Amino acid sequence: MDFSDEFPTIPTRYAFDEDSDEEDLAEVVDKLVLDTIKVDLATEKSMNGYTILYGNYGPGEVFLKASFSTGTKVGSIQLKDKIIASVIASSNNSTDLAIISEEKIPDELVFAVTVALFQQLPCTEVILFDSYLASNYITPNRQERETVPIVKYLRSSLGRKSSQLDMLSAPNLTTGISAAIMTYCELHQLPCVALFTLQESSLGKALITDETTAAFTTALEDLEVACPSLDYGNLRSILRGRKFGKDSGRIDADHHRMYT
Amino acid sequence: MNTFVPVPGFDPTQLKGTTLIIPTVSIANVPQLTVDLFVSSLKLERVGFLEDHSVMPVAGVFEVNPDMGITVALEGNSLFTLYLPQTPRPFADMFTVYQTKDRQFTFVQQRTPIFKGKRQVFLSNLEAFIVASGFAKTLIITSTDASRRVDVQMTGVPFRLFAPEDSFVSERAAELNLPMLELLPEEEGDHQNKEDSDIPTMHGSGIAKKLYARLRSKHPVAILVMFALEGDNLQDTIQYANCLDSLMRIVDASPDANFSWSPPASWQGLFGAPYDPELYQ
Repeated sequence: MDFSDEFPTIPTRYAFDEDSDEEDLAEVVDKLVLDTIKVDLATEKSMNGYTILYGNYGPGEVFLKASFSTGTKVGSIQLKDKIIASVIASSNNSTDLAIISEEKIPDELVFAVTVALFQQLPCTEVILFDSYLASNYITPNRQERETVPIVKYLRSSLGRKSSQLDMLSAPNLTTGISAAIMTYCELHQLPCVALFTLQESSLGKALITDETTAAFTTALEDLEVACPSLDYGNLRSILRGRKFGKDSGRIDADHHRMYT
Repeated sequence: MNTFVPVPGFDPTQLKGTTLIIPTVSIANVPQLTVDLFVSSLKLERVGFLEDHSVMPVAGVFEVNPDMGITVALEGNSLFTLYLPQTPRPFADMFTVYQTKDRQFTFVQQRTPIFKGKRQVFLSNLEAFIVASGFAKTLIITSTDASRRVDVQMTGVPFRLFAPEDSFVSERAAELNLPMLELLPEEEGDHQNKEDSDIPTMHGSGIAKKLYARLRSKHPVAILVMFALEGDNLQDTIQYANCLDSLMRIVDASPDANFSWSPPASWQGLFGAPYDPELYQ
């Protein structure tokens, strides 16, 4: 154990106390956010009336990369001049736009990114591709056995209903950009469906497989959502590329070990 | 900025003249659990949301009717009779607004904490919502660290009220022998401003003190406080709901009425629920 680590989180009872220093931060934070998020579209074609397929960082992003491999990049979402998501148009002239995350968006910026996104890309429907960790999933039914494909979903009040998929049951919640987008869609009367594929993890990193990613295809068929065909060869190639580096789940040199 | 977003079909003017009950994200989350208990037991219907980007986003299935969408971080609720058609709202998020059947009470539920550095923005938005909606009065329900109690607070009921002498709750509080929150000497580390030095410090109570300070000069407001500790808070929640109901007469059921608190199904996963015997077979 590395004893030089600071206590990771303050005790809960003190987390709710006032901090006089933070009172001056609000305006500064808001201004920084407004200045740093940009949705850049490199096409003069009208983006109205599109269906947005948003692939959250992880299985969702992998799935859309494999499905839109023949698509055309028409834009990007930038945060402080760094591309955090790519906007890909389908090659078959459909009205689908894939927004593929390149990295995880910090929680404090998810609302700002969401608002910037929908201001630039007015759409008619949103489909979110995300995941849930098996180790974090709470279910009162200990006998519950998942059947393949393991996909759960949430829908906004105007979102499509599924006859086959299970909902992400209470008290499980989704957070981050998926929650921000779903909230926006609900409050602004946009049809929205979020798909969550079961995800195993190792040392906090998702272990994405072709089986868990391909589960999205079955869910889309059930919801009658048209999407470019999943290229399994491309999918495996993308997954092989994630076997090393920050997404691999492997122990790296900086990881704190209990034993040398 | 007033961030209230009504559900389709709900007229925001119906909030006017009602009593607002708003929990703070505070120690043991007892106020939030209490609001959930009222929502579940009284079948409150969601009437709107607060679209506030100062709180962390969250989305999950709407427990009242899973086929009707999701829950969010900030919600408001009202109680309508069962035979009125419910607006299909399948989705719940961070901040929702509910209202009771007789339109006398409006509850706000907050499910997630405020982002660091956004507290003042959040308070400003909340103040704008309360003032613009025309609520008759506001009761802030919060909890404070029971381990910071002084001797005089160690015995008796774990509840305190903080309100002006002539407030809307003073008479009823006197009938119930509900004590007022003691103003104790300032402790080391307390952040006391001159403007609110007459408001007691409530450790772990979140924004309760700040919100009270903002509202008291322009709107009838009071704070109901419970001493609480992190842990198994189910009984604390029921106790708090009973105290709140006694104080504000929300349910106002006669002793013979067949009313009992009905917790939401998701409480099965809370700490303190019975263990599954099959684990040991």
